[in-house]
Amino acid sequence: MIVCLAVVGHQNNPLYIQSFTEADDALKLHHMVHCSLDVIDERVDNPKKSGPTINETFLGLLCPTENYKVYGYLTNTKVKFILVTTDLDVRDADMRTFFRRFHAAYVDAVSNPFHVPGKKITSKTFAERVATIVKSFGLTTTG
Amino acid sequence: MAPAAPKSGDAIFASVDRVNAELFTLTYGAIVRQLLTDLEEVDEVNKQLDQMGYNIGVRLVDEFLAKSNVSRCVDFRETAEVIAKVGFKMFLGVTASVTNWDTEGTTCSLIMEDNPLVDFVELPDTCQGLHYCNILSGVVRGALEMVSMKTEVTWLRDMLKGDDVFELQVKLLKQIPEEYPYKDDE
Amino acid sequence: MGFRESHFPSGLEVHKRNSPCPTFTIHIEIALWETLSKGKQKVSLSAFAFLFSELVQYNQTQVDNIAELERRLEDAGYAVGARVLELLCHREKGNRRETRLLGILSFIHSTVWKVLFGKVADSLEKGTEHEDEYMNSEKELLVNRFISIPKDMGAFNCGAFVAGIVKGVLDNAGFPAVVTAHFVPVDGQQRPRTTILIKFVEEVLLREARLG
Repeated sequence: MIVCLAVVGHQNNPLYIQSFTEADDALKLHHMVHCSLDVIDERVDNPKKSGPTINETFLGLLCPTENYKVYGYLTNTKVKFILVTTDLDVRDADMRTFFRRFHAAYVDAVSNPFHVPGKKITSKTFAERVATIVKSFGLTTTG
Repeated sequence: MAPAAPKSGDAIFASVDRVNAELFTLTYGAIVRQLLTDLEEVDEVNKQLDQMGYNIGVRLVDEFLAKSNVSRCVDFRETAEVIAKVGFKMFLGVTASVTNWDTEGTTCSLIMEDNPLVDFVELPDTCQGLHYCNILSGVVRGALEMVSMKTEVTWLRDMLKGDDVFELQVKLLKQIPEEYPYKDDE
Repeated sequence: MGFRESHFPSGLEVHKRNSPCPTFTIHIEIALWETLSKGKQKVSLSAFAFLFSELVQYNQTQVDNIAELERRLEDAGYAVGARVLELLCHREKGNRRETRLLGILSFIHSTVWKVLFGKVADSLEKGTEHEDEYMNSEKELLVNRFISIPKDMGAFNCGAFVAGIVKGVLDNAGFPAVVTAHFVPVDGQQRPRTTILIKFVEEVLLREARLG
């Protein structure tokens, strides 16, 4: 299951971060998100190392740990989406689909004239949509 | 005998030049943001949007009459129908419906379910008093004034505030008899 | 029915052409547009023209010189451009990110222009005198089609709004630039074309050189 989602601006400023677990491990999750930012920066700054994926928005698996997997996505506007999941066996295709849907929700939220670019996303509609997408992701992978 | 007013604006909308609704929507959003920054008070923004709409309504009526082949509406009732079915469609590509007539036939509501101004819009808590679409009420008021109808236009329902539709109440205050609204100097 | 200039309060007026009402003759690109943006919502060009005219007139009341007016229109455009980039990247660019200068320029010249203005821009050229300059030109820019500038407003160009859109796209895609709109006379044409001049900041060119 997806335990944490984050949207991070191009100066590594957090725009949205949400945990989806009952457990009291927000701090640990935030730390993982933070660490994965460096991984993204390194990949994007060293195009040769990361090979053919350089121009793809979907960055794939960033850092596997014992209990979690962290995936990343980088938009054209240099905004990073980071996802932490406890599913250790996720297909890339499912992950891509998830990020596409999440990206769509993000685009709608920042198109709101009241959203100030670079500021936190406070939209309730966005939060609700994300919750729905997260829930449906759990359904497709477990069942 | 003047031709009957068209019942729908579909054909006219199909024949006019159009632009991407997103350009329109986002430009309107930029205007509202600019007003909020400049004027700070939500009430002042409502007033300014209404004024802008009024300016547009006053100018738009010529084009509307020319393209819709409406020469003169018989009464307020017919006028309201023409605005909802033809006017909204011709300019915004959406149709409104007319309901809630009072017994005197001087007050009615224009109901819109679809409104290109509000795509992507979510009002922040600090702007709950904002009538985001207030430009529309100004347009209706301005256009009606040009055909000699003084009206008061008020938002009764607003989808941005959780209502199921947009409801714009139009109240006829007085009908100025046969006074041509501007000097024809051409 | 005639069309009366007196309805336009301040200095700006909708183009007076030989048409019976204040609308704007652009039929050519409509067909092209239809195929490119399958069934997307539209509004009438007049609705946009009226709205844009109000934007300009309102901002005129807030400034006391042309430069300031253009800056404010650019700001409004910037807000549009930043959002257009997000929308189009998700919708039109699939899963690719644009990392190269020519790529983003061609994205503006083609994709952004097609979606916003119904056609690809007339030309995209590199400046001959300065390495860091590019020019995206349009014979008749949408926002200049229906607005004519009174003499006393000199070189004021409504294209500042479009320059702002372009700047909003470039900045947010990581290609910061100074973007300005200019009228450029064209031989044998009565009306000048509008050139959107893009001057990239140094870091963009350095990065581009590094990428090889």
